[in-house]
Amino acid sequence: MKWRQDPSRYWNPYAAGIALGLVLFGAIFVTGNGLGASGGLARVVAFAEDCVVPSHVDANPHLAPMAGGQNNPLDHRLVWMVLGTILGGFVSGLLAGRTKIETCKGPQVGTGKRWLLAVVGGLLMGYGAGLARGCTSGQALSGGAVLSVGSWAFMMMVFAGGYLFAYPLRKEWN
Amino acid sequence: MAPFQFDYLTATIITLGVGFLFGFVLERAGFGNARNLAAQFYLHDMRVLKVMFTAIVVAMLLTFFASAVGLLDFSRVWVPPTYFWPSVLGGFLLGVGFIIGGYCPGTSLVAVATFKVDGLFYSLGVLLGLAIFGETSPAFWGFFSHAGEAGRLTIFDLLGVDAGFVVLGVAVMAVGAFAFAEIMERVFARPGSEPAPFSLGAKTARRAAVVGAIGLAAATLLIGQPTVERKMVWAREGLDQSIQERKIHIDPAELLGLMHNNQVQTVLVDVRRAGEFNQFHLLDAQNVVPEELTPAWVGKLPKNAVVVVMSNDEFAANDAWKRLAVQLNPNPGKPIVDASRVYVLAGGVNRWLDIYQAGNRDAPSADKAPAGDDSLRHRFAASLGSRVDFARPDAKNAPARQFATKVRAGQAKRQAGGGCG
Repeated sequence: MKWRQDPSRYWNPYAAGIALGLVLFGAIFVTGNGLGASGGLARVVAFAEDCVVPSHVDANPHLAPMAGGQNNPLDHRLVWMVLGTILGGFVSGLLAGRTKIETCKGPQVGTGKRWLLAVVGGLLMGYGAGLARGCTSGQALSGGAVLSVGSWAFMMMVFAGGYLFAYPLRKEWN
Repeated sequence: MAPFQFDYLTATIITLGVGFLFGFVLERAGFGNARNLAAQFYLHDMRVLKVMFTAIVVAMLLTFFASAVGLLDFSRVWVPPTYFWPSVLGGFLLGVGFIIGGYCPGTSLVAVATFKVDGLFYSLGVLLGLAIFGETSPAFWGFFSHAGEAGRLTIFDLLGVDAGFVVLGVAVMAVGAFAFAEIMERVFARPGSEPAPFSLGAKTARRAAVVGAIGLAAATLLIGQPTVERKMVWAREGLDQSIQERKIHIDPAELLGLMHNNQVQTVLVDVRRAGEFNQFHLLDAQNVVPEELTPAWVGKLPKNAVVVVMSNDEFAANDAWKRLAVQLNPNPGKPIVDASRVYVLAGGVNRWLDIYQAGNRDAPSADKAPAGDDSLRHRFAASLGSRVDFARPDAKNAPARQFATKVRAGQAKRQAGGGCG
């Protein structure tokens, strides 16, 4: 059962981990801040809402600090990091020949169902990232490396949630 | 000392570059494909755990080693503040979303960048989830902002030990976790599939990595995280120069202005002996022994407060200033250019009394160091404390003085953290 398109081209996970660790340390050392993804995305959401219903944004305690009044939610480092991440992923995929339009899914699940599950999973993830003030990048990786108590609790719970639902969802992936 | 501060354009370019490398490595690790990520939870390919945990350990080792040897000021590194219960609940939801959707926000960006349709749907789901959170969170705002709130809390602060112990513990734990992951991959290997490629590397490379990681952790522990005293030694040239050039000594009249200014929160720290403090002190000054000016004390300061230290003349105040400057100022090793968060009352309590008790408005300016030996020149018949008008003279009755303003409120902010979320 060959389920990777081209396994030989992925890096050894430990080598990739060392490279990722060096990037993370570089960011911490030079700027004092780690990595992040959901923070930038939250600002994209705030921007969209601010375009449509600015007065509603000003009255919301979650959105107002980002987009209330004259604040430009896109004027933030994490938005630039999101752009960089997309760019870096694209260049790597292009060089490795992995940029092609496709849907990654297990063999037993239809494409439409996979898309639906992707939306549902993303929705839960987005809600969880809002609640936890960060995602796997900002909390688990960056907070984990600087030994934040909340980040380690978060990380344990991510694995707990994943493993708890892995068995009922085995048909989706295997 | 790192971290550094940059102008807007440079900071943007750096962040873009960091993001680029982040995305590049994620893609190379195989995280642009949901199946590689979901495999973690079926135990036949634990690359998520391997990559993430290796990255955390590498960054942790380098961060705390750099801090121990004085290359990095850890107090200026962003530590995601702890909100325990929202983190626990959010983390659980995120984990469930992970196994249903197959990505996390960072990896879904890479999936989108490599044209994975499921990644696009997933990202739209994330945006929708964030929007719903924004709309619903006001309903449980108290839980979100206060449940298990502990501010900047690290595991080593919680345990009350040197960071090195935790660093070593996590490094050892990681080696164990990797060994466990390798065994699991063999036990749960898919029939007919070749073992995960390049899984563990050559034996010598593996050993070198383990020895290197444990060695670096042990070295970090042996050196220890810098104490305030060690930071003062590292920064002594800049500190001495700032004192020598009297960059941080403010005129009594400037301090009086601050005491009357309700836009600036001013914390007055009097480092004299308790007996002298009881005889007379400025209104709202707190009597602190210099050794008590620890990170714990500094941690309780109001955000962006301006601290003014004083003794009878200046010797004790200058020393206390050094202790606070290495903890509060962004670059204590460099002489102050225009912004500090902590100042010294020029001429100390003696000059204050010369002006506001004795009415000598021609007392030396802030550029002049006092001649005295840091003892109280004024005599009091009783312990007055601050129950006299000259403990905080009324602004309109105070003798007018010419002085150069030194305090720049709001400019000496330490680098604001960003983080995620």
